[in-house]
Amino acid sequence: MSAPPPWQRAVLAVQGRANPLLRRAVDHPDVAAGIALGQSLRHDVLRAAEAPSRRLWHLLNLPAGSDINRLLVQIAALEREVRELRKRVEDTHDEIQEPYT
Amino acid sequence: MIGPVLRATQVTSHRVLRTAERLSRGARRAAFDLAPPESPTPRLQVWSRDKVRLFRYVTPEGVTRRDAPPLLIVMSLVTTSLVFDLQEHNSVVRRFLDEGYDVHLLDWGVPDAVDSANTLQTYCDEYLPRAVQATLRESGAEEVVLFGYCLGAVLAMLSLAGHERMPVRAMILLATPVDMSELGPLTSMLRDRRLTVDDLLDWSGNVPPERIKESFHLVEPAGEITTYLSLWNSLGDPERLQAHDALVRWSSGHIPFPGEAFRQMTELFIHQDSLVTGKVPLGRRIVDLADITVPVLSVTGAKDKLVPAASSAPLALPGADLERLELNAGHAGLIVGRKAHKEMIPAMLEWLRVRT
Repeated sequence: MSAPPPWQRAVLAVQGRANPLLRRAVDHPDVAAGIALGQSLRHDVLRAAEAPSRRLWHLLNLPAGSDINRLLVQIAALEREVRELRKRVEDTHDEIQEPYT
Repeated sequence: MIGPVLRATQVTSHRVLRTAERLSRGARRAAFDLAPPESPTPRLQVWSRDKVRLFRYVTPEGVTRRDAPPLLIVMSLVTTSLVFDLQEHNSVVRRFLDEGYDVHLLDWGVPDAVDSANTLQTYCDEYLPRAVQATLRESGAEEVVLFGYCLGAVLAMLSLAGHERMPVRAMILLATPVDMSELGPLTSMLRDRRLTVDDLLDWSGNVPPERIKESFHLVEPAGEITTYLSLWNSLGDPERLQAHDALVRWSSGHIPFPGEAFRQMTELFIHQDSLVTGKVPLGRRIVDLADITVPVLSVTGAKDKLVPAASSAPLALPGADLERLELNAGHAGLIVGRKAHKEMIPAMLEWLRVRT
């Protein structure tokens, strides 16, 4: 395999130096705290924005995204129960026991 | 005098042409989906439960099947199992098939809201033992060889330790995360309780793929540059471009991580360090890694940034014949690429040949 051209070697050298620096920065307690705060904030902001936007959609007599998500979660819970029951019936029918216990 | 000028003109025009060719190939790639087909090696689905599927690969013509236990590949929960069979000439599955092994792959599927309640027990006590049973039924063998990759190695290990009667001849563990403090910023934030599991879950109760991708970017913040350089270099050669696209498609194709399993792993593996101590509470019992008594090969990559060798180093299996192998590769490089096929996979095959 031929050696990379000079411009690529330069880019790789810059990356090689930047990576540990950036990684050290990310690992710094203050930066890590900032990133964690950003993640939590994103979660909180989305939750805070949900109520007014839901009210707006409801004023238009339309379901909000959170209504649909709630329904999907309920359907998923139901599907999970059905799945467990189906597996229990199938295992009983096929006389399958928990293997290797 | 004219000679050097002519040569310089020739070199420059050659470079201009190569660049134009690369740009045109890049434009076509951006405009059309030129991705190679998924899983090029023929396979049959031989068992399924919920979203989990067990595939058995078809032995290529002319290959005599070896008198050895079938191989059961166990994938991580973070990405898809495409990595094992990226391309015809870049496939660890194909390589094992060519060596005469009967290869099975356990694919967890793509979790949705229904699977958000899946716990480690779901994978280690329900799916995996049944998949082993199905593999034995399908192959007519009496034992299997477990081949776990990344988090799949942890699942394979826990399942075997928790089911002493599981008929396993040997186990290969690739890039096994044991000491989670070595895994990068996300685990550190969870460990320091700066971040809670709930901050990461979406409406479906799972950790969305974007969060997983972000956490990997934090591990290697300037890592994207290498990807773009590799793309630029690959644009000059259609075969290399296909290989690049296949790898990028896999490495960026994260899937949702089941929320309950993530919560449990955070508590057990990050806060309690239970993989380091070797005693993992699962359900109503404590699974002791010391109960593993089969030969184990733990392979790590010296260049692995996602699961550094230091993370696998504390792996202790006092009851097993544990051999460690550190290879000069990154996370995917252990099984993908020219070097993997030249050095890594032959090393695993040789270990396996002696044990089976």
